[in-house]
Amino acid sequence: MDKYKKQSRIPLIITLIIVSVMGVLSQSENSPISAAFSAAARGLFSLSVQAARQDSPSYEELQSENKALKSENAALRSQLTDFLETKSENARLMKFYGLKKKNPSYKIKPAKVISRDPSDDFGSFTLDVGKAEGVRQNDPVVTENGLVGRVARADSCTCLVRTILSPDTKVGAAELKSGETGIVSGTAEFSADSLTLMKGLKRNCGIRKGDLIVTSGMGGFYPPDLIIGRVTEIRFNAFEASDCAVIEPLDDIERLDSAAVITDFDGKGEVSEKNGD
Amino acid sequence: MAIDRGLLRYVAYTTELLLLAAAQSTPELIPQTLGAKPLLLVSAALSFCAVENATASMILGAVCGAATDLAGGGIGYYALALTLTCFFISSMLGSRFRANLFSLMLFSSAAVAAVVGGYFLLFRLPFGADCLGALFPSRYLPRMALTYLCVPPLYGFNYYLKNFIFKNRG
Repeated sequence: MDKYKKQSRIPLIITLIIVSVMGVLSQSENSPISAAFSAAARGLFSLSVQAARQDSPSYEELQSENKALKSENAALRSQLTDFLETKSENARLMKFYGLKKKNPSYKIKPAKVISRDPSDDFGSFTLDVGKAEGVRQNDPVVTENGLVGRVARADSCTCLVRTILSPDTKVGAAELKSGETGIVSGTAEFSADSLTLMKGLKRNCGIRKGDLIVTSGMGGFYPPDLIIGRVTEIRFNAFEASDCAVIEPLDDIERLDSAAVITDFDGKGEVSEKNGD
Repeated sequence: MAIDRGLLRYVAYTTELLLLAAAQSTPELIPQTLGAKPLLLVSAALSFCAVENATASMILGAVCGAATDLAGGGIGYYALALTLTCFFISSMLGSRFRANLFSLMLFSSAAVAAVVGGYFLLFRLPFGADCLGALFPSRYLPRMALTYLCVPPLYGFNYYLKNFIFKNRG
C-alpha cells in the first residue's frame, strides 16, 4: 500500500508542476498556449454556435425538406445559399452602419459571440475577432443600442469581453440633461437581474427614472455619448453618503449573439476634462 | 493489426471532453435552469474518478479544469482544484472504498461543494459581502446542484465505454 502511495505521488507532483507552469504561461496574452487555445476555440465554438442556433426539425419535416431540396436545380441552390449568407452578413453589418455613419472616426470590427464563460456570473463572452483584426485590451464593445463592455483580453483570433454588469468594468458616465457624472460599474446584487449601477452621484441629484445614461468620454477609454442604459431607480448609498442610479442596459447582455469592437476613435487614450470638476 | 483498446478509450474520452467543452460554453445550447448552467467538465472529471485509476483520473481532471479555465482567459483555479480533487477521490475509491456509483455520489457531493464553493470564496466574495446574499443562492447553489446531477449520467456513459465498448480482452 505504501509503495502504491509513493508511486502515485510522483505523477501527482509532475501533473501539478505541469498545470502550474501552463497556468503561469497562459496568463500572458502572447503565450503559445493562449494563441493555440484562441485558434482552436474560434474554430470549435463557431461550429457549435452554428449548430446551436439551428432549430431541430422533426424527421417528417426533414424528409419533406429533403424531397423539396432534391427537386431544385443545383446551381440555383448554390446561388440561394450565397444569397442567404450575404443577406445575413449584411443584416449584421447594417446594425453598425448607423453608428459608423454618426461617428466617422470609429473603426468598428463586427463580430459574433462564439462562447460564454460558464463560471462567470456577469455575462462575460468571447468574440471571434482578436489581435489579427486590430483588437486590443480595453477596447470598447458595443451593439447598435450602445455600450455592452470592454475587451478584457485579446488573443490572436478571439477576445474575451467583460460586460458592464461586471464589477471589473468601470465606465465614466454622464446624464445629458442634468449634466450629472458618475462611474458605472456592475455589482453582485444587480447583475443577477442584468442591471448595473451608476455610483458617485451627488445627494438629490437631477437624475430621474427613465433618463438615459451615456459614456462621458473622460479617461480616453470609451468614446463619449455611447448609450449605457436607462435609469430604473435612484437609491441612497448610506456608506458613501451619495446617491446611485440603477441602470438597465438597452440590450439583453446575457443573450447577445453579436457585437462590435471599436478599435479606434477620436480622442482614444486622451484624458478629457469634459464635464470634469 | 490490432488496435490497443485502451488507447481508443482515451480517444473516446478526448472526444467526449471536446463535446462537453463546446456544449458548456456555447451560448443558448444548454438552457439556463434556475438561473444557472451545470459545469459539465467538472461533472465529467468527477465521473472519471470511479472509472479510471488515480493517475488517469488526475490527468483527466487537470484537462477538464484547464478547459474550464481557458473559457475565462487562462489556466488557473479549476485546473489545480480538479487535479487535486480527482487524485484524492480516485485514490480513495481505489483503496478504502468501493468504486461504485454510491461512493462516487457521496464524494462528489463534497467535491462539487468544495470546487464550486471555493471559486465563489476566492473570486466572488472579494467583490463584497453582497455577493453572499445576491449571487450564492441565485447562481452558485443551482450551479452546484446541476453539476452534481450531471455526474451519474456521465459516470454511466464512461463506465459503459470502459467496461463494454473498449473492454480489454484477456
